[in-house]
Amino acid sequence: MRWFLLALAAGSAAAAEEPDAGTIVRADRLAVPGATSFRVDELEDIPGGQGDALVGLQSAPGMARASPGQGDLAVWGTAGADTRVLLDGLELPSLYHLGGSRSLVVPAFVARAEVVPAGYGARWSRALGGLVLLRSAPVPDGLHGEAVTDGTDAWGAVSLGSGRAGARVAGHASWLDAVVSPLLAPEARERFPFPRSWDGQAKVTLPLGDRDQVEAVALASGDDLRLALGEADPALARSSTEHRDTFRVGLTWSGSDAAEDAGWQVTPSFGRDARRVRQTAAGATAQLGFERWSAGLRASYGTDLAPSARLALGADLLVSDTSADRRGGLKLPPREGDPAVFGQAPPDELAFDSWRVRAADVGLFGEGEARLGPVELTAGLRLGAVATEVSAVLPPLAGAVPIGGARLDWVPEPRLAAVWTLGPRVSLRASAGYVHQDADPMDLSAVFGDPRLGPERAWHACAGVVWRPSDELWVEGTGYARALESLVVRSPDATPRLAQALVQDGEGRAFGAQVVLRQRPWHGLSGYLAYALGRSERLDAPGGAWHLADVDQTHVLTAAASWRTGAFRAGARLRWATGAVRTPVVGAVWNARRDLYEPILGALASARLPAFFQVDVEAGYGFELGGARLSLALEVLNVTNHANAEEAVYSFDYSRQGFLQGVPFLPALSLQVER
Amino acid sequence: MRWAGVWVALVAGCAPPFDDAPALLESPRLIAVLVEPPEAAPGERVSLRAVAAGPAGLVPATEARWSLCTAPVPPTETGSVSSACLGDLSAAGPDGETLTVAVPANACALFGPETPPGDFRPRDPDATGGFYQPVRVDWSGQIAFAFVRLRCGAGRVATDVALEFLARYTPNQNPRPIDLVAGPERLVVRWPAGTREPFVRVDPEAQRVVDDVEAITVSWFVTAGPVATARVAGGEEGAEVERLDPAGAAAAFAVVRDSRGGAAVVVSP
Repeated sequence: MRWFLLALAAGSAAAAEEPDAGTIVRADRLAVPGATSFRVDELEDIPGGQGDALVGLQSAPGMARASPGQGDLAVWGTAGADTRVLLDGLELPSLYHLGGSRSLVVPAFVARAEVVPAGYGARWSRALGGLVLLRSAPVPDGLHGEAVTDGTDAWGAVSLGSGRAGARVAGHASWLDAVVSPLLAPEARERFPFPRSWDGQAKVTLPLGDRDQVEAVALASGDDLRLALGEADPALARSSTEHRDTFRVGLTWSGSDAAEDAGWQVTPSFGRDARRVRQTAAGATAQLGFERWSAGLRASYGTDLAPSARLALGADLLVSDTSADRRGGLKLPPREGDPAVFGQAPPDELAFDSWRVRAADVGLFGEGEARLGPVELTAGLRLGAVATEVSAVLPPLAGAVPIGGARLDWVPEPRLAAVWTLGPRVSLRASAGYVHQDADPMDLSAVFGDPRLGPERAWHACAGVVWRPSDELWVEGTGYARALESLVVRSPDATPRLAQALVQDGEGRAFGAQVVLRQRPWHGLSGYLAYALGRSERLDAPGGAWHLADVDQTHVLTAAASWRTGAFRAGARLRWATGAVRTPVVGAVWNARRDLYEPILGALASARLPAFFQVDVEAGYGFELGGARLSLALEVLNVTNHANAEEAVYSFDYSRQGFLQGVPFLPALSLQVER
Repeated sequence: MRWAGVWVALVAGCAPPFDDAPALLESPRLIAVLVEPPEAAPGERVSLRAVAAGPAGLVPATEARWSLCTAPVPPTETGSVSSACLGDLSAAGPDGETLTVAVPANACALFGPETPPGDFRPRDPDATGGFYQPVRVDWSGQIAFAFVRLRCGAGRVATDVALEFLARYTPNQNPRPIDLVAGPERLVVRWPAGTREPFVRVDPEAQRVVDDVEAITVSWFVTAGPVATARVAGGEEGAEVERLDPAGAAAAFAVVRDSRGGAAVVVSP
């Protein structure tokens, strides 16, 4: 929530030259239908990013509209947690800080972002949904610096480059909390909290010999958020605190022409993630946290077998060690498919568990590519193995030695893709594959989950046609389908078996179509128009009834355009999306022990919030003053002041319903100084 | 974590005003279901009494229909009672303001820690270590659930912990408030020292018996004139709430609840 009337930016920027990635996103060799690639400067021109270009990815083609304050990158009918985000091959836990309004990476550190909604190649897996691949920006020659501040945050980057060697450091920190919070009364400080977040990145590139190159990338970030509604009524008092920090370091050693996927490339990486959440509501408390250490190794080798045939081989290893604990009831926090009603007091159950999970996910992959006339065919196979060891397969018992458990899952994953070039400006594309996603260690508790859970799996298939009327204009129509298997869901049994509060009987399906019209810069005009029609459903138990998935949005329309001419620039973004899925409230019962009303629910996921509609605009003007270049810009979120319903809320006895409204008409003025 | 996300927006001030006044009795409704004794073992008999009030004061809930809920809540549901107990249930006794009924013999298996053979997951207790038998009350078109605290074993714990728990545990008693004074500016309810009973429970984290003390909450009800808040946390010997409309002449009621499921109703003279 960045509800500020004035944002001030100052600094000097030196944009590194970045080659256009082209409109065909290959996601490392595969031409994937429906995938899109953005240069960061393109995202910067899209209004609504609130100063952070990577926030603009939330409205990229294929993305469901994110819930407010979430920043989910939910693609083509899968949850945001099913999308994998990687920066130069380093997996990030999320692209955004808590609240979703700031990215974990300073935009100046990134050159390009690719969104691959489905059907990616054999070198990737561990994502039921899609991929978001971030490429760090190359380091230009010379010394360059950039520093920016706005109404809530400050960030900057410094780089030094010479030939093939270079280094860049970048960092971001929120500052509003530090400045404003001390001026507020303690109660107001908790009721109107300002997020506290920071992140830093570093990149060093060194040549080794004539063609080899070593590139090291490191990233660290932290978040703290504390909210409290300290009502006098103990049934209404609520609080939430969350802390999250992340560290990653990776080293990529690449041989000749690695950027073109020929030669070899090795990327070892190491990381740590920690998260701690505490929520209280109506006397019930949920507290959970984990610390996860991970190490990865990615190696690949590509070579031309013939003028029209290529082969890539590689390995992808990720090992992790997670220590977790959780205190509270089974039902807080809610899971996908829970009939959760906003504001409902959770059951005041209390359980506890502390457990450890060690996992290794190994994938050996190979991809062969051959051109047969107008058809380019890519066939891949990934042989995956997932080994998981848990510290306890039964709930803890004082005096008893915990009995651990282990399982091994083999996941052979075929991939196939084809591009049929029908002419110089028209091509057909298709891709399909089988993928997996490792079980969430937080689900492997013997008290709150099931230590025996294995990977979730999915089939992806998508096909489309691309028409390029000109070099700058691109139209793509894509159809897609997913079948999700072995999804982790809550046990439907009234009395589940011991250590089986979660089971792996869930299924899912998502299908739909998407049309994207993309305009690359042409006489200063650029932008895209994307419309997606889709349906996403889940089945929680064999023989049960399919219901809409939480992430289902039938229609998502996004139009974004920007125009630059001389010193003036202007842009607009329009978003319209079907309202989020909810379970209706059809009545209420009174709990005499807690003196609380609880909702009686209708059919699961059978209602929706009203449709979302929002137009954001931005205009800027640049001029020279005293040897510096100043840019004045005005961004207005929700320029029509449309009252968007972001959540259904209820009176104390559930007799009346209202809606929590989203961002109102919100102007923000910014000034940027370049020198 | 959708809940947390939208909550950011809620605290930022975008919630619709409902003008909720849960303490104001605008129409007759149940304000308490008293259970005596408030804690019982399977097979023991308990008496339940429905207390209703409306704009004219206390209302006899003579047509209350009572039924026992025998379905535990599956993990897929988010309420305190199973949706299976929201349909038609057989009556547990004759309609009336009170019901005397034996706690079902299998209550600790259905709602407590004593699961049937076969390695089933025991229920999780509340923060006081309590397990509860739900009893449904239908009255005047309203559905309410009372909860009888069950005296079960300690559950899936080590034998020495279970024995210590059984030896040291003292069953709950209903609070005995002294009076409710309805002054022009505030309502004050008093109770004797020691109403917040000490008790022991098994800490699920430490897996041992720990000492605890009950918390008290007070729910306020008035027939006219709003009060500052519908519920407050009680102190050692009482609780109070501000009357926002001192001129409003109104009857007042307070329901004193302890955190182990005991309750009492006190009426202003």
